[in-house]
Amino acid sequence: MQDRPTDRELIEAVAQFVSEELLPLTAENPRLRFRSLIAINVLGIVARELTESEPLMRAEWQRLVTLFEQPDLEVPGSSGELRAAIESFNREICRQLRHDTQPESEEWQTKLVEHLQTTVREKLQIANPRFLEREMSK
Amino acid sequence: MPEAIELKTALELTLTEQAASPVVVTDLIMLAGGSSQETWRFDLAIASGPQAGLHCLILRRPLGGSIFNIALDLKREFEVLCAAATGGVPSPRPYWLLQDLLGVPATIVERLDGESIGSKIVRKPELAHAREKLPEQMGAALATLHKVDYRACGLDQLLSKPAFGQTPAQARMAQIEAELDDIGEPHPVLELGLRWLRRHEPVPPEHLVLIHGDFRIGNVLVNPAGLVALIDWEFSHIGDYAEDLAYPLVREWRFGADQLHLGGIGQPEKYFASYHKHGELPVDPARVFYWELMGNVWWAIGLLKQSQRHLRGEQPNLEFACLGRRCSEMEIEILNLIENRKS
Repeated sequence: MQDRPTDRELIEAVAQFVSEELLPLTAENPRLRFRSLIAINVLGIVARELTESEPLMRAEWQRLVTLFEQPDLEVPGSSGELRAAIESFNREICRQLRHDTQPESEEWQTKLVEHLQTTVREKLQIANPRFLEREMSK
Repeated sequence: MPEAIELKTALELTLTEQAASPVVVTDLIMLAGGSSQETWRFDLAIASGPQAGLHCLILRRPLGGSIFNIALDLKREFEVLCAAATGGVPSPRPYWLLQDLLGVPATIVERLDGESIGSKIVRKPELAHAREKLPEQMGAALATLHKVDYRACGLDQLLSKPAFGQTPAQARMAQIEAELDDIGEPHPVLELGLRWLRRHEPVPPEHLVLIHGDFRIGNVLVNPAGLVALIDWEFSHIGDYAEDLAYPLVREWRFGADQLHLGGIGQPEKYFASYHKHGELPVDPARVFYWELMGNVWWAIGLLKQSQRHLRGEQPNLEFACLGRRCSEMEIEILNLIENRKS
C-alpha cells in the first residue's frame, strides 16, 4: 500500500495547481489558457476512471459473455486482463459486423444494440458526464 | 518553424518576382489553429503594376500530417480554390502558389474578415442576423459549388473520386474501413454504423460533383451580414452532392445548439429549398439522412485519427490526445440515428 496522498488526492492537487496558479497567468495567451482548461478536464476524466472504471468493465464483460453465450468463462483477475478480454470480444463483434456474419435473429441484434448503447453511456460517464446528462434528459 | 524576420525576407524576395514590382511585407504574424498547416497573416504593399496597392493576405505552409490520409496537399487545395473562385463560389481569392518558400511550398490567398469559430457563430449576439441569413446563403453557395465544371478545370485528374464501378458511398465506406483498420482498435458502434450504411445505400446520383468535403459551420467565414466565404478546402474530392449537403447537419457541427439541426444556427428547410432553387438537384430526405449518418461515422474516425497522431508520437499534443475520448459522443448519436430510423 502506498502512502498518502492517494491517487485521487494527487490528481486533485494537480488540478488545483492548474486552475488556481497556472490558469490566472494565461490571460494574454488564449492558446495556453485553452490547453490549461483541457488539462483540468483530463484530470477529471482520470479521477473518475480510477474509481468507476473497474466495476464498469466487470459489467461490460458480463454483458459480453451473455451475448456470446459463454456464461462459464472465468472472470479475468487483473484489470489489465479484463481490458484485454473485453477488447478481444469487441474485435469479434467488429469482425462479425464487418463481414456480416453475426446471428441474424432479431433477438440477438436487439441484445447487441442494447449492449452497445449501455457501453457508450458508460464511456460517456467517464469521458463527459455533462454530455451524458444532456443526452439522458432529451 | 522559421522566424518571422526570415520568412518576411524570403516572402519579399519571391513576391517581388511574382508581382513584377517592388513589394513590402508588413504585420507578418503566425495565427493559431489549423492542424495540418502553419498559417500566417500579413499585408502586402505592391508598388506598381496591375496589382498595385495594399493586399490583406494569408500564407499557408505545410506542417506535415493531417487528420485524414486523403487530405489534399497545398498545391491541389489551391487548384480547387481557383476552380471554386472562378465558378463564383464565395471563397477567398487565390493569389499565388509558391513552389519553394524556405524549402517548402506555400500558398497565398486573400485574407477576409469574419468569424470562423463554430461555437462563436452559433452564439454571438452580433451574429443573430447572420444566423437568419445563413441557411439560405449556405444552400446557394453549395449549389454554386456543385455546378462547377470540375473536368474543364482539370480537377478530375487531381482529386480523389470513386473507383470505376464504385459508388461515392462505397468509396467513402472503403476509406472509413481503411482508416479504422489503420487505427487498429475495435470500435463496434462504428462497425454497426458501417453495416447500416452498407445495407441502406441509396441509388447513386446520376452525376458526380466537386465536393468541398468539410462543408459545415466552422468552415464558413461569417460576418454580421451572413456568409462571407467557404474556407478550408483540403478535403475536397469528387463525389455525391448529398455528402456536402448533409454534412453541416451532423450533430458535432451544431456546437452544442443541438435543437437547431443545421449547424446550430437554424432548421434545414430554408437551406434545402435554397440549394434546390440554385442548383436544381433534388433534396431527398432519405439520401440526406444517409449521408448525415455517414458524416457522423466519418467524424468519429476524424477524432480517433487525431488522437492517434499524438499516441504514435507523430505530433505530441494534449488537445489531439483527448479527442479519442470524444468518439463516444459521435457513437451515441450514431446509435440514436439508427434506432430512430427504425421506428
